[in-house]
Amino acid sequence: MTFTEYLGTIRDAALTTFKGMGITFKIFWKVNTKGDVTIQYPETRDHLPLGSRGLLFNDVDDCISCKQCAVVCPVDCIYIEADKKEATATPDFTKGGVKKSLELKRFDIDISLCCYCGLCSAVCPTDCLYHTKEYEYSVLDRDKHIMNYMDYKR
Amino acid sequence: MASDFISSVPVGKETLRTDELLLNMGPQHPSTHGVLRVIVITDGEIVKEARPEIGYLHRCFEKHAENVDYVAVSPYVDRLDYLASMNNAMGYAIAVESLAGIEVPRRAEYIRVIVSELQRIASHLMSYGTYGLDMGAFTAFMYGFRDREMILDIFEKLSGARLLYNYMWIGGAYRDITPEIIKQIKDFLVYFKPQVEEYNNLVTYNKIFTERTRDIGVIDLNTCYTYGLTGVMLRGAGLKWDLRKDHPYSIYKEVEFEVPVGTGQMGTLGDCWDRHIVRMKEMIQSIRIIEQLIDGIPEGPYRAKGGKVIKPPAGEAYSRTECPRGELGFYIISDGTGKPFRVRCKSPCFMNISTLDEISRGVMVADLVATIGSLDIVLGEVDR
Repeated sequence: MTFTEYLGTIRDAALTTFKGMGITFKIFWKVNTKGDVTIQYPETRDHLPLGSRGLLFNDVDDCISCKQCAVVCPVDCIYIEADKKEATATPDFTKGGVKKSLELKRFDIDISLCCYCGLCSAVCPTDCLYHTKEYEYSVLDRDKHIMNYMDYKR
Repeated sequence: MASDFISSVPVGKETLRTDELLLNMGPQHPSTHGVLRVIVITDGEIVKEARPEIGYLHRCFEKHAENVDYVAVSPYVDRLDYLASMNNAMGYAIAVESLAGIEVPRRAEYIRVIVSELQRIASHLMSYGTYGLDMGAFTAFMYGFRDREMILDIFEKLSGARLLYNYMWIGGAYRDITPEIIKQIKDFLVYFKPQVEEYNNLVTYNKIFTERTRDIGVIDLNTCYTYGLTGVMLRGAGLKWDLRKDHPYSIYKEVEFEVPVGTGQMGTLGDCWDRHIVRMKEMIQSIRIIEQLIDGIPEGPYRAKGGKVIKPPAGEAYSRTECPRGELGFYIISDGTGKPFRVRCKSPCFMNISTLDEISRGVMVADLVATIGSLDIVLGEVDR
């Protein structure tokens, strides 16, 4: 590298850097006049769109214990226990009018294993298992992440 | 006395003991893009050997896939190359569809191509941003992420997730595309088109950047053939090879686009700068593809009809698709049951990282960072 080439490199570096700085200042100006881009999370929250895949919720009153969700789950985090109903028991129906032939005893989802793929809520025939928009549910004890949906029975 | 000690130290090259220094770069080093460990043997500032150590992110994908249904493999596929989940899932879906003989509706094909091109832009933006970060340009990283965020917002509306979408299902897509999302994509394209030029002025043609990336990490065509490199590596070395053009899958044969190749504009053909400019040019081509398709999405179903359980007949299928990082292959053997007998994934990043030793011998340690950055590896895909 000759001395002139060396000087030329320095000149080019300065010129192209100024060009880049021009772009930076343009955007800096835009942000200052048009408002912030960053959302200050705990104070302001972004609005999640419809169909966001957050915490799972199962409406056990509508669940027919078909176990399709547990079968399709790739990480096996859905635990279902159901008993056969006695013949004398009064027939029970879901909101959609599907007869419940099994009595649900346990519907637990280990949320710490869940990978939010959305397969379980898609196969659900009565649409009782769905994703809510809830995303803040950190706990200090891992056992508390096993969600017991029978508690929310009407 | 200290002065006695100093005077007792032998001076002169003949008596001074020189040795190689073994340096561990990573697995927690920010410029290794994940959990890659490079065992670097240095002679002063010169790299004598750079041995990549992989396996820190190994999750037994192929064994897992043998134990779940065909449908349930796709969440795992998303997690291979987590920066380009859509493209990965598309490759797997194509393999299973050809195995089971599922016809994908035309609307689904359109959605798939649009979404995977958007994902390609997002992935290249990430590559651009982190490469700027490696080179000491922090602003580029911020701008790249700002625009990637807009694509993620589109995907969030479309699929409900921001990173691991599980959107490309076997036989179509998870959800239908709505006019609102189409408008959002169009707005993004209008916004993003001049943005690429701005990025080029900010980083790509910056003299400091070009000086640091030209003539570094040169991969010639012979090396490409020896290691089986694909994608940007191959195009950066000057070969016009793009699966979307040469072996078109889905509806890629109906769209017009160019295949950008490296020209050796700033230095040697196939250096880091060539690979960078190929990525920047590919973003423009992706915009072109989306623009051609976005207005003509046909009406119809967005998912093929069929049962929830997929049971392909016994046989085997191989699919290869052009991912942002190269050619991704899925080899699936079916034994007629609901679970795959074997799923083999041919990852492009694994080939890319295996060249690191050969191309980085004799460079400075700082240039090693530039080389790793230009390979654009995702360790989730290397280790699987």
